[in-house]
Amino acid sequence: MNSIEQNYDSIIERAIQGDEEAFSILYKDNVKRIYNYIYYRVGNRIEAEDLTARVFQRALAHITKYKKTSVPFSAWLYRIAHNLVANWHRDNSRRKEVPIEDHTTLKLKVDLPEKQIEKKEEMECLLRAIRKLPDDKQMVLILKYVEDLSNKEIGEVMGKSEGAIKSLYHRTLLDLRNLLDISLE
Amino acid sequence: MKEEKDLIELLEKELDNALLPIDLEKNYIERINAKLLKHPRISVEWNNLYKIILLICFSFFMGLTILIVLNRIFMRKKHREIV
Repeated sequence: MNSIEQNYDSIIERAIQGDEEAFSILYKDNVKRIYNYIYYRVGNRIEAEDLTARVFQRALAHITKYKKTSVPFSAWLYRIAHNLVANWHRDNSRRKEVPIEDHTTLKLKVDLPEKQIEKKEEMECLLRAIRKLPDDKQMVLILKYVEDLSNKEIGEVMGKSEGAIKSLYHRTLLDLRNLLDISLE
Repeated sequence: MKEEKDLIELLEKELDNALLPIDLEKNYIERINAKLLKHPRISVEWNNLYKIILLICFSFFMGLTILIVLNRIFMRKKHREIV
């Protein structure tokens, strides 16, 4: 274990013991990645900001339950985020909401050249397809592309082996290709 | 097979362009940090505090009453036996 890891461990230990300054360091170190994960899962900036705040509120309230030996701290935060996003999807499944980003893109389309509009539409189509994937597959893609994590690191976060992540990633790409085929038809 | 591989590669390229990290406003980070740490985590409202005190008093009173009643019953039994 190197000194940086030891230092990070001591910060976690202090946070568990109720040191608010230590928790603040952990918050600042993880907030961006948790926000990115939530943003790509819900597709709405305001909801993502609200859910991110709730993840850290929950983490602060339950930090004494966190065990360093079981999972990395970021993985623990991702699990909280994952549960909150699942609840959010369940609560929102009944009422259809149009994300604010959709309004802004409609407005922007007037000024953009045709090629750019086409590219933007393709990207939106891809993001919509990603959101149709099962939770674990969405997580693999977000961690791999947004967070730039290796299969091993993703495995640590998701509690799976490197090989399992490699296979899950491959299946995710195939699913995504099938979904895009369907949506293009 | 090659076509399939090309398609997957193309898809990976598209994912690389679509899934970009999004920057959070510094304001937001600081606001949430302040909200997390400066506000009291547990707040006891006065109404609840009164209810808790009332409940403790009531439990104490009930316990005492039960003890007195049981004591009387046993004392009466003992008294009868002596008589």
